[in-house]
Amino acid sequence: MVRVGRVAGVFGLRGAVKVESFTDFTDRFSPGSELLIRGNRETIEWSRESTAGFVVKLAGIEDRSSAERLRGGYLEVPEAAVHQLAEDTWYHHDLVGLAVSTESGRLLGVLSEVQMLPANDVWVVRDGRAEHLVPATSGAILRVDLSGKAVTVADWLLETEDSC
Amino acid sequence: MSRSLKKGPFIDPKLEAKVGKLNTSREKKVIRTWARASTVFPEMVGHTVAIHDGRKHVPVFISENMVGHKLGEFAPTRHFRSHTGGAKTERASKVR
Repeated sequence: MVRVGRVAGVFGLRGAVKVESFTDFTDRFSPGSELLIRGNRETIEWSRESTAGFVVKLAGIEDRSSAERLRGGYLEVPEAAVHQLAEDTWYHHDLVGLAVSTESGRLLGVLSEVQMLPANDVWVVRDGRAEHLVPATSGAILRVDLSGKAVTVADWLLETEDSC
Repeated sequence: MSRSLKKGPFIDPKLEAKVGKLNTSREKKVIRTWARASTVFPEMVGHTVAIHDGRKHVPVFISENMVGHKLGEFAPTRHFRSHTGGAKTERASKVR
């Protein structure tokens, strides 16, 4: 299962819930979409974006106490239902665990986290206590081989100049 | 209150010198800086600047639409970690 959101709380008196989104595809919460919550298939009646995510009304949940029972539940889709991605785009869960090495063959560690930052994503590579931050840019990431579980990055990332 | 036009935008002189040096030598290196208040200048476009966020240096690729902003805007000092429970999510990373 792939998690696309979490019920963070209830909204209003008519059974709507606040959802923290874990997806890049907002159509997951469009009316008529089907999602699983705690194994039960639920249909979205309506939804709208809010400052902290989405406000979602599920069909059949008509009052606040029924909505309250969903609090903390994860909205999921089967793995077969995830969207196909464009070129040079990968799901975070596919990237985490890949071995990262430089073009010259130096092993930097294992990709352990993807941080989404304002300018570009940053891939956090850890080897024990050592940590390397790799910008997700075409100049820095040379190859991503999901089947070979390896990422190759440019050598110049290790060459730094301090401006102090 | 806005900064006086007479002074022009602020850039850390040492950072400016490093960028100038890399531009003339046409070398590719990461410039580590603590100067979060420095303005992004057109000369910096195409370079990767590692901006200090209080704990570590965050590598940021400088693009044209960042010119005029401050470096600190691209290295947040606080991180919200969502409550995914460590499971698979539908978040994707795009190489820019």
